[in-house]
Amino acid sequence: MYNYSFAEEGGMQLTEEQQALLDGAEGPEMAQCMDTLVRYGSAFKAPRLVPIKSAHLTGSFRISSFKAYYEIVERLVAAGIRVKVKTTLNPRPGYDFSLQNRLVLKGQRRHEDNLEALGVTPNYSCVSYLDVNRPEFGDILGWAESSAVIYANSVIGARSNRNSIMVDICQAVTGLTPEFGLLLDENRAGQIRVKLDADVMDAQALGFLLGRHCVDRSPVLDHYPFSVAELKNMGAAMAASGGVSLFHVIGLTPEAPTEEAAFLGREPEKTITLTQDDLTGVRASGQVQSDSKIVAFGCPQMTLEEAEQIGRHFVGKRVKRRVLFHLMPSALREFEQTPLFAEVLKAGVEVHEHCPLAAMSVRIGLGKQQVLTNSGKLYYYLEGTEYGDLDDVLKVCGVL
Amino acid sequence: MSVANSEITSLKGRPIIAGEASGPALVTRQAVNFTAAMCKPANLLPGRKAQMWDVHHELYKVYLDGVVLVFPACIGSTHTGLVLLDLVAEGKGPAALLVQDADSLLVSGVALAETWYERSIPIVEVPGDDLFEHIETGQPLQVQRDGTILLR
Repeated sequence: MYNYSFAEEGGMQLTEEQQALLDGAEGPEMAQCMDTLVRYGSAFKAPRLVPIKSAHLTGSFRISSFKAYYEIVERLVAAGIRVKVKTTLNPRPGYDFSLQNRLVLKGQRRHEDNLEALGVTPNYSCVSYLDVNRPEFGDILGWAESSAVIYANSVIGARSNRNSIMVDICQAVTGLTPEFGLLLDENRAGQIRVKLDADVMDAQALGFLLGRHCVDRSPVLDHYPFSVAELKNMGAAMAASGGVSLFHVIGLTPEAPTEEAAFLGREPEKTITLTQDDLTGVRASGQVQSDSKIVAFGCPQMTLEEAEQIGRHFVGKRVKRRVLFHLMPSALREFEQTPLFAEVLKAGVEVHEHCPLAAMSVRIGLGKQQVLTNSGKLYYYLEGTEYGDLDDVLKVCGVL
Repeated sequence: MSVANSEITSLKGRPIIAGEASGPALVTRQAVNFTAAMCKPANLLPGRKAQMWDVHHELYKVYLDGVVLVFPACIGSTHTGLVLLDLVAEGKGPAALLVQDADSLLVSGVALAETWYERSIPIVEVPGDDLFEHIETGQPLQVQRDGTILLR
C-alpha cells in the first residue's frame, strides 16, 4: 500500500497480521499508524515490530500554535480506534491555573476527551512508572516522555526507545514497536565512565551536567546511594540538557552490578570526573537566587515522599516568596490525607497537580518574574528560571 | 576551529530519510533541543514558528526557515516530533537536516509528516567530523537523494 523512500536495504519483515493492518484491514487510519512505525523502524534498520507491555503518552497539552498532532488524534477518534495495551498519560498543563491559561490552551478539554476516547488511562502524571504503569525488568515498552523513558530503562531495567509524541499513540493502538536501539542487549552498554568527586551530592545538578557532557551517550556513574526521587530527577535533567535515555550507577541500578557488567565488558569511550565545583557551577549566585519571585518544586512531579520530605521544612513557617508544589495526582490525594498537608497550606505553599513547565511557560499572570527551582529539567526548559539546590531554594522560600 | 576545505566538493552520508533539497547551511556543534527551542510563547507569533528560543543554545533567536541545518544530535523532550511534524507538514522549517547521529525523535518528526501529510525533508547522517570540517554557515548546499551533499 505504501512506497518507502528509504530502507531499501533488507526492509522490515512483518507478520501476516501486521501486513494486513498495513494494508488497511482495520481501516486507513490504522494502516497509517502501522506505516508510521514501519518508516520509523526502517530508518534504524529494525528487522521487525515486537509487542509492547504498555505505552505512555507525552502529548497531553493542547498547545494552540501546533496543529498536525491534534488533527491526527481527531482522525483516530473519528475512526473509533482504541489502544491495545495499558496506556498512561502525561500531566495536565494547568489550564485551570488561570483564566488566561485557559485561553492560550484552548481546546485542552477537547484534546483530553479525545485521548480518553482512545482508551487512555487518565492518570495525568509524568511519573506513571511509580503509579499506575509499573513495568518490570526486561519488559518491552512503547513509551514517550523523556524523563519516564530514562527511568524505565535505567532504574527498572525495562526497555524503551525515546519515542516521539504521536509515535507513542501509533504504538499504543497497534501494541507494537520497532525492534532497535535500547531494545537490544548490545545497545544497553554504558559508554562514558563518570567519576564523582563531590562530598555533597546534588543529583539534579549532576543530571544537568551529565546531559551536557554525554549528549546521547549512556553514562556509568560511581556508586552512590541515590534515592528513588534523586534517580527520577537526575534522569529527567539528563534527558533535557542531553538526549540520554539510559544511565547506570554501579552497584545500584539493575544492569550495573559491577563496572564491567555496566559496560558489557567493553572499554568506555572516555572517562570524565565531575567535581563539587562543577555541581556548584550550575547554581545561580545567592544574589541572583534571592531576586526570584517564585519558587517551583516538582518537575517531574513530586512523589508523596518528596512532598513530605520537603514539606516538613514549611511547618510553622510563612513563605517569603510564591512557592509552588507540583505533585503526581495520586500522590496529592494521599498527601491531602496527612496532617502535613494543612501545615504546608498554612505556610502559604500553593499545591498543584499539573505540569509546572506547561503552566508557567505562557507566563501569563507571572510576567517577567524570575522563577527559582531545584529541578534540573525545569531549569533547562522554562525561560527566566534559575537553579538552586534544595537548601538554596528553601532559604529563598524563607524556611531555612 | 575547523576551516572549510575548498578542495572538497561533496560529502556522502547515509540517507535516513531520502530526498532532495538545497539551501544555505546553518552549522552548530551544539546538540539541538527542538522542544526547548520552539515551544515558547514567542513561537506563537506569525512567522516565528521556526525561531530558536532555547536560551541554553548558541543559536538563540536564529531562524531555521529554509536552512540546511548541520548539527551533531537532537536532544531533549519527546515533544520534538510535535514541532518537526508541524514544521515539515506546513513547509515552515529547515530544508534539510544533516546530522552526525540521527536519533529516534528527529526521524519520527519527519516520518510522521511523510505518513500523515505526504510532506518530507531529507535527513542525512554523516558520522565523524566531516560535516564540521567542510561546511560553514551560509555556504550553499545541495542534498541529493542518495545522501550526497554538494558543497558550492
